[in-house]
Amino acid sequence: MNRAEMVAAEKLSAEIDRRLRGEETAGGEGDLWSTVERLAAINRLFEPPDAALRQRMWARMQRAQSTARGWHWRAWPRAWATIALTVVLALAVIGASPRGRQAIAEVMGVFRLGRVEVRVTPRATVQPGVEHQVTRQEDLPNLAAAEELVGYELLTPMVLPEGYELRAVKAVYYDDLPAWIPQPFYIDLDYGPPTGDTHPYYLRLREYRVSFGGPGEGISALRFATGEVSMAEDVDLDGRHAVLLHLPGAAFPPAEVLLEVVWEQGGVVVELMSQELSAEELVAVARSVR
Amino acid sequence: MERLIVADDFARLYEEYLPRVLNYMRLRVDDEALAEDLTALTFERALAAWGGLRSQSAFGGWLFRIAHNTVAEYYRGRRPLASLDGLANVPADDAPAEQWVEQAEELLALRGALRALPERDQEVIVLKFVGGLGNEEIGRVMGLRAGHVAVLLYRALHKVRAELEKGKGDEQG
Repeated sequence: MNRAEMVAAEKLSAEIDRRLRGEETAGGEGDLWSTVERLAAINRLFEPPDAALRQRMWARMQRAQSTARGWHWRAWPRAWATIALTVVLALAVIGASPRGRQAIAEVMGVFRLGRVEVRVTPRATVQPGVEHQVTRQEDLPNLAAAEELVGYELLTPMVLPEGYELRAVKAVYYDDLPAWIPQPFYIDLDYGPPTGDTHPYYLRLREYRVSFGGPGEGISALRFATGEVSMAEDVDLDGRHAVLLHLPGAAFPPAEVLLEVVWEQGGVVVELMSQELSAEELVAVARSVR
Repeated sequence: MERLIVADDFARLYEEYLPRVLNYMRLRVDDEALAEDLTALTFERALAAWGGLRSQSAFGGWLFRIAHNTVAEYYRGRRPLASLDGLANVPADDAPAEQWVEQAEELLALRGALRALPERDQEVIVLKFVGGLGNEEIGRVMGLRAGHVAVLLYRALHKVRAELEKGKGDEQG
């Protein structure tokens, strides 16, 4: 390689980098630059991966990762397994008391609900990552309009507190989420007395669409960044595992706490929230959701 | 009260880099299903090693090093395929039929020209134009100095141009 060739090569490389970044460029040797232009367009000649392919590959990655985790577990020496078992038992003992459950909720707010893992993490401990926020919200006239929008029958409570009725239906969009995640991201159904205060947390049923699809597809973890979780406990919805959360930092005044039940039902992640009902009343409504 | 949904950085980078890694594989192997398979394997390996990545700004070069090793591993076990049959299975996006034919012909021409080059020349061009990597990053993938990459790229481009002209001559003849 001679000096002149090296200078020409570095100059051309710099121009190509500018071209690939979409910046203005002086180009290069005539014929050679037309080859550069043809190559620079090569990505556009291929079909981009569609949503199904993206999701299939993502699911495969998740499966591979969980298989790898399983292998590590089997490879652990017996001594480590014994130590781990001791830690689990200690946590179980601590978890038997309300204070203990609170401590666990704050440190290890991770729950597996079927295919979906829900991480409830106080904001202060949220790991750095991309935070997605609501980009738009659409008020829908009724339940049928929401079902038409999402293309399936929404889950609704069969039992409501006395005097409550469906007051509002909203479709909520996170447009900056990856393209393969269906939008609207979730539907909110707000129930409450027909007149009076209009705050949304008399009773709100939120249905996420993310876990739709076959086993292993969809998002594997939702991390809810909440202000505070004072209590988290497992509840049984007639054989379905759910988590009851006490969120003191999330309620509208004058209530002091927002109660929430989270579970997975028929491939849908469901949140039922209220700052008016007691935990028993909320769980009773959750059990009636079909 | 609206919740923040926190997605992992890996998911964001997966979205960003999937098309480029897939196209890289499409140019390195002939079969579309195999390209998808090797792409998935690349991301599986990247996810498994994700915790060891020191800086996200180095993600592109790091990911293509995994992709490069994945293809090399594949070829160590098999001879490179010579046919271009798989290309017919790679349609363009929603383009009209005429545009689709033009795009397919252009892709066929570029791919044919690349395949005529030595392995190392193909790699430097694909990493530059499909992966969008800088010379330093390409150097890390291929085990070369950045200055050497610039010269390799320069020479490889001359060869591609010659191959494209040869292809055009063959068509006209």
